[in-house]
Amino acid sequence: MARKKISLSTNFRGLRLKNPVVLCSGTAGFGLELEEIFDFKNIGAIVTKTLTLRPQAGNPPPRIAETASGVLNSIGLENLGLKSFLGEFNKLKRLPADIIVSVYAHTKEDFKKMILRLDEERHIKAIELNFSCPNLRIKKMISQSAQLTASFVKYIRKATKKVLIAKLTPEVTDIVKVAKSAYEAGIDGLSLVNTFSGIKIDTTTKKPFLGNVFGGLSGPAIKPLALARVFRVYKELKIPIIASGGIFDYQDALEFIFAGATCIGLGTANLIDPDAPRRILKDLTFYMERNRISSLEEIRGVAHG
Amino acid sequence: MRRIEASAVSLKKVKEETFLLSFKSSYIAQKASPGQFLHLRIDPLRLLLRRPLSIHRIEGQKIDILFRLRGKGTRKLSLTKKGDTLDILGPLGRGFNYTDKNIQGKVKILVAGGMGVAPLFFLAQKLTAYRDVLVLLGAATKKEILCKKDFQKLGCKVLIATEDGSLGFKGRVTVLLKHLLTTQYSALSTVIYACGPTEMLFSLRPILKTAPRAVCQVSFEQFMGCGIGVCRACVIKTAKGYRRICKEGPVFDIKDIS
Repeated sequence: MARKKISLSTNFRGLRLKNPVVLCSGTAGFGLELEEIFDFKNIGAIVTKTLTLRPQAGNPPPRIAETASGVLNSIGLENLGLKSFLGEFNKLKRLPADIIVSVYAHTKEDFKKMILRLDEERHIKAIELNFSCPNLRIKKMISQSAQLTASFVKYIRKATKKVLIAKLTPEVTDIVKVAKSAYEAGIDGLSLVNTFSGIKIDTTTKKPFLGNVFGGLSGPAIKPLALARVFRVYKELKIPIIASGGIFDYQDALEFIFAGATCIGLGTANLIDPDAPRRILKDLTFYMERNRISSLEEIRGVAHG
Repeated sequence: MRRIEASAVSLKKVKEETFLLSFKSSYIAQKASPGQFLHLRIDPLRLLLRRPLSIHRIEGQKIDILFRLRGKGTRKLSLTKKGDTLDILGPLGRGFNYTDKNIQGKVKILVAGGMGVAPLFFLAQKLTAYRDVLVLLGAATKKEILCKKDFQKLGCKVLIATEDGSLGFKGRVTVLLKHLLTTQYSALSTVIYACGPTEMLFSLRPILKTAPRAVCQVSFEQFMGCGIGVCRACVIKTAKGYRRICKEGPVFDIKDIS
């Protein structure tokens, strides 16, 4: 019997990726740092570390702590700023993976300024709006309000025709409501989810361990929580989703695909296992062969019946 | 830098709560320089992050890691058995500068606080080719002094400082250094290489003011994420802003640390 040809190529609202593996923002730098040990053949796209209009120093150390099955971080958006990034951009173009640039600003106007500049770069395939960094000293994250999310998306949407993705916080009463407001305002897809807020207390000093007190929890500890949110949003909206939250192997990836994810976001795994993308794709291909699946489209969202 | 799998050759208990882990790797033996570190994935099913450990000694293809029990990672590592597979990323970071011409003519003083001997022994292995290496070993008590004989075997002159006075100079190793810098070494150009608790390393700064001709390279530690410069978790404040301990460090010129 002739074997079905297996394809891992992924279509994220017109953005064609060679495979569904995406390296999440903040865990892969700007890609170049990883070249020595990551094989970019196994990566569909990399989402850059979040850029701000001007350079940002980040939070005081310690910035990371391990917890049971999880990692708490409070980097605080340390980055070189948009201008320096664009100056270095030529080096990034040669990476054999697509580039999605993550951006953050306090105001709509600054968001727009950044996006207009990024829009000129042909090699940038999509822009991820970081509406959910938990490590900033602001009262509320943009994606903690459906109205704010809608008004930001609507304003930014006019500035570019590139694929626009919003990264949402899971820390809301109803993530579907926020997702829906972004969708109706013109977003192309969502990145679900950013980290959960947490703290660690140093038992010697009796004080918070992290320099910025609060950190964002990621890793296998949050997988069921992230999965529940991807599940609910997909069920209601059927919108393209980059899913992330403790994905370390192909079975984790499958769970998110069954829940409706289009792309598989690796975050914490990048800090530990440079071999994860290759291993996940190899095992996913094997799974598809064994189950006579030729494209991930056939199994996307099947958990919803 | 590469990810390698190596099998453990031996694990020896050196002192109470202190262990020496050995494995073979021609790649690391060839590439590593003193002050660099290895990032070990110790217990993939229960511990998420890798753990950074200094390269202690290299002989032929045999690599030694010296560590003390600190938490879950080191505890698990202390249970390693001969033949166990070690998942290692390395060598990583920027180590000590010991090859520059302006360093070669100077007197070298290695200052170790407690486990700070870990990277300094590998440095001593490289430095003894040039003679004139003085090693200051500091600890709370005599029992915690490590590697004294090993340094002597390399031909280093070793001085000890214990806080309780149970061996050698009574007081902190940094106070012993200060004493030496203001007496015997005041007129000489020295290069100081130091590693130890962060507080001890910071206490070197006022001491160095008394020795304007001294250069001081210090190896810092911090809780780390990726170890390869990507996640920006392990930073230290320098005169130029935050710098990554895993990438621009772990060795810094003390003058640059703010």
